[in-house]
Amino acid sequence: MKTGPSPGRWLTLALMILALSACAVPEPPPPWRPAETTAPSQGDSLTVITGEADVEARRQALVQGENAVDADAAGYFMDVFQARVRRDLSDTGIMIDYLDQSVLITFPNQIGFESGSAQLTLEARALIDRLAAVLKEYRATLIVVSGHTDNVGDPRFNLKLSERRAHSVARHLVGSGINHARLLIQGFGSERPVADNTSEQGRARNRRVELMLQLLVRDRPSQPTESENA
Amino acid sequence: MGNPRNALLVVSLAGAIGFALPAVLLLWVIWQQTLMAEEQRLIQLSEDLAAQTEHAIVDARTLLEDLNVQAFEPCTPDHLLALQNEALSRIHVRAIGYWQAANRLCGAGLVQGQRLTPARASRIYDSGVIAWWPSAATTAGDVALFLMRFGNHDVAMDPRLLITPGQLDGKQVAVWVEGLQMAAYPEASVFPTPNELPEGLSVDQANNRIVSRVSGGSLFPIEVVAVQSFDDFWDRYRVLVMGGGGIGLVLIALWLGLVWRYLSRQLSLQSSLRAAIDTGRIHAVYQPIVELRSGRCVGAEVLGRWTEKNGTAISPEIFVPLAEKAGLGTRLTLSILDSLLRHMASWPESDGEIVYHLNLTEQDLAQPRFSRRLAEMLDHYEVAAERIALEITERALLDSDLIRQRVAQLRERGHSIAIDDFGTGYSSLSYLQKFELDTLKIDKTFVDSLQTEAVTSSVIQPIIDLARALDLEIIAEGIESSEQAQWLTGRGVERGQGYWYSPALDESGFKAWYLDKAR
Repeated sequence: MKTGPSPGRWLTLALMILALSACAVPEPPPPWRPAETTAPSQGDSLTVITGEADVEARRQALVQGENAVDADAAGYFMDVFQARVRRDLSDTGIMIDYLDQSVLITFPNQIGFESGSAQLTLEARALIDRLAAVLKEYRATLIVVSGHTDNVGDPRFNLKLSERRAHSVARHLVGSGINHARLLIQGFGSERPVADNTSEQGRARNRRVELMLQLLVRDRPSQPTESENA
Repeated sequence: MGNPRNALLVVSLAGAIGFALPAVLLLWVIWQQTLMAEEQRLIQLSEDLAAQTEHAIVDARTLLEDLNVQAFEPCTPDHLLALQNEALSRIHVRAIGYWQAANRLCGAGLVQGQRLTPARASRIYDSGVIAWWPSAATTAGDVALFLMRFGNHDVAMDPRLLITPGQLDGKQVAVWVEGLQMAAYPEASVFPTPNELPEGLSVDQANNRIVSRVSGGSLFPIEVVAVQSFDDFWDRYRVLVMGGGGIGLVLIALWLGLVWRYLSRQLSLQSSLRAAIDTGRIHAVYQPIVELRSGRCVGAEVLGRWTEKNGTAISPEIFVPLAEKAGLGTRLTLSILDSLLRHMASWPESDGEIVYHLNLTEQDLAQPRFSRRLAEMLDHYEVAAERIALEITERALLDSDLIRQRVAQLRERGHSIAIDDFGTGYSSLSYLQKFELDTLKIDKTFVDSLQTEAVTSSVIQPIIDLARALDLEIIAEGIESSEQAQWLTGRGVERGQGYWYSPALDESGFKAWYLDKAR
């Protein structure tokens, strides 16, 4: 069982950064260019991953930590988390799927990004701030941010774009106070469509950033954390 | 009704049914009333419980909302004091907690050392309110608590305290909120779920109990299921049901007793009449009919007289209608006729000028039997039909060609036909033209009027004129004074009868009277 970032993952990150810097941006210039660059910087400690093994490794590292939830409180955590999300995020237009021990949050791109850009819109920033406020309290989650595109255009470009968009979201979460250790980033390009790419509607649905929140359940027996007051 | 004993049996049976039906109806009505009264009580109780429950839940939600917006630094003494005050001011609130995610950081209240984190919430509302209905997972210190959390605060309620046992009056009650059982008293009891019960009160015969389901709650659905054993229910209403039912039954019994007594007397009278007819105890008596001008006896109205063995006489006004009602009319007439014919046979020297007027009942003309028997009997006693006049009431002549034919036949045989009690029956006089008749008997009431009013009575004159016009002879009935006799004689009325001449006489009396007159 690994207890920290594996050398393999660092290698991956290094490779990806290398690839990014090597790749010219082929898209037409956006209407306005923000002052800050949307390219991932190397200083934010965010981890770009390539597969499930990376997720599992990070999960294993975190479940032993103080933020993980005891097994007997896992169901409770999921329920109260869901209640909190319903209260604070149900009016935002993001899609939320409650799974057994995870929650899938989907940002449609029309909320988050200008076309072809990894630059977050103001609306998306506000939204992510609200999400971060919830995630700050509900710390027993690992957050895998993944970007997705439709199948139009150059697949390599799409892959890069999706990863950059995921990165933007993750970085904003860090900026809003989420510990970077809880965050993983992955770009899928058009690899994982959720809808039919032959229609405009379907393509719009495929352009998205997903946040898979995975519950971190501690596997050692729980200990009382509080003594009764009053 | 051939046999009186059978008739009594039928009447008794009818009486039994007559008793049972209203009795069952009465008991059923009392039962329904009782159930309705109980249902009203249960509805009241249930609505009270539903309102209490709803109030407690709404109050809890409001409390959580307030706590969330109050700007306490979490778990500071001020915060804890506020939590404690809120908890203590609500009887059913056992604890209030402050949470972050799945960690209870601090709280106030009476749930000792418990950090209840049930695995599955009963409800997660879009508002962000989340609730756990009482279950094993919410049990602390032997109490299954109702938990509600909103934001960072939660409240633990003891649902037992939503029901005040004093209200229940011995019933077992369960309160269901949004289709889930919230509270029950006594807690250990197992209640039927509301959706397997009809709304309102129902009798659960299998378990010998009365069950009710009442829906209440204005903000969210609350159902109250109440169960009480049949014995408890019966204890409460026994006096009412038995008192009311008893009085009702006594009244029904009294009423039926009266009816039964009346019927059995009628029936026994009927059977006595039948016996009297069979044994010849009904015999003929005679009221002389005289020719008014000369005072000569020209005939007699034959009347039945029923004298019981003990000597009591029963009035014809009772037994004639009774005989007709019992279908004995023709037998009665024939029995009187028999008595008359035997009398005539025993008095052969009486000359042929005496015409005997026999009263017919309605049944005599309705069936062919009378006419046939009349002919046979006259034949047997060798009596000419001319000597027997037949008196028919207006009522018997009302309709039907058949009766008209029979009357015509009798007349053809030689019987003279008289209309009895003329003027008292029906107003339509059309029968006077349709039927072939000989004599019209003016009823006693018209003759009576001669005494009370002016002698030139305008009532009786038209009858006389009518008879004249139809070429009918007239017999005036009920003449009681010489003035009446004189007046009628003066108007040319041929014959008459009444106390002025003679009351009805028995066989020997009539014979004597006749011989005396003839002398």
